[in-house]
Amino acid sequence: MTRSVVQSPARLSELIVRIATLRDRAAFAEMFDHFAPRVKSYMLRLGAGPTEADDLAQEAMLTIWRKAARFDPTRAGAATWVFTIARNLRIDALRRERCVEPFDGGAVPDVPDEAAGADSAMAAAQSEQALRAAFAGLSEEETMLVRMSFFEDQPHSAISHTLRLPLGTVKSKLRRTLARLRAILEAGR
Amino acid sequence: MSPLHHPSDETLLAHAAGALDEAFRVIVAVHIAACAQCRSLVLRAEQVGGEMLDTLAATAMTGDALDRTLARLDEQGPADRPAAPPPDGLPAALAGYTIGRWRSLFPGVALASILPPERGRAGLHLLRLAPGRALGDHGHGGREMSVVIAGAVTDERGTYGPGDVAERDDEAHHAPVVVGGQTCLCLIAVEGRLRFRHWALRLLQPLIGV
Repeated sequence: MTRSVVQSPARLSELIVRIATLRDRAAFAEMFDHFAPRVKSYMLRLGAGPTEADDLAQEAMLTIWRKAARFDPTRAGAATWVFTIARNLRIDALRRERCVEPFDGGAVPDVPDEAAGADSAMAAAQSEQALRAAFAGLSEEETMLVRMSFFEDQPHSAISHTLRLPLGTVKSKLRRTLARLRAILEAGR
Repeated sequence: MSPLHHPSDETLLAHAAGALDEAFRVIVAVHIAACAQCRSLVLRAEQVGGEMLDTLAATAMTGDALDRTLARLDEQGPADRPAAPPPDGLPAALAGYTIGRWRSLFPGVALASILPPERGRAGLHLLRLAPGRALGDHGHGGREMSVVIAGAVTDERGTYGPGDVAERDDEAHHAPVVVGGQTCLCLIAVEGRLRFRHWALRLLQPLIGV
């Protein structure tokens, strides 16, 4: 078993800010305990081997240390930011696997620029809260559809296999679920 | 002006999840740079990703992982230099990519490859169409997605200007035509080979690698 540390979103944001401003190693260790095991699970779910998943999780933590100054708590929560870092590392790893020639540069942007610039810190927190509430309104199958979209290597075929549904049905179900999620979120504004 | 034609919700979700093939990812990146609405949807989807990550069961790290990572904190990271900017007039999402040589497909239509199609990977190409020109009636072996960079094209579903995305599945045949007096430049991602109806174009394909 692992130390599965659960931290509040506010605490996690504070830790990243401490890393950025104070280069605080204790804050980093706390972040590591919370996120590294989760990022490792994420990489495993997407098909990385145990060693590669461990390495990628460490790499994600190093990226957090290096890029902490770019974290904008008014834009998104800590988990969202860490998710984009882990996602981009995996995309880069896949690209390295298939590309022989070195790729010059970062076509995978860290953060999709100036998005939602008007959001205040409170709005960011509220929108994440709204999201959690919206999820609570989805059925178990719908939640699973969205979850698998994030955590399967070939989401559509994996969902089709797990739920024993034809591919076309998976796509239309996913489309309906997203429309519902969007409607719940927009109604909550 | 903000774009009128957007990628589907599933495509935006797949983009946020990191599940899109590289060629399609670039197309979406070009669109969301121009579209605040889709940018905010992608951010939403990334929040879903964060939420999912936070609720994943933890997997124990190797025993010395934290110590090893701490020991590397002072290492010099990879140089944080921006990628080479793309040539003039091309979107920032193409930074770092090498644009292939322009080759004429037929009069008024030229193509430059960015990612050649490979087994299991979609190709990414720039297409340049002179005013009044049409890209020959074609279908696809798989998915096609394109985004207009400059100028405008029209097909039976509407008119597409800068930032507008057209998404097509497999068998749909269509024949976009340039509208207005400006050369149309667009970026096109294709899964499988384009299937031109015209025999001469089919003959040409092996020569141009599309």
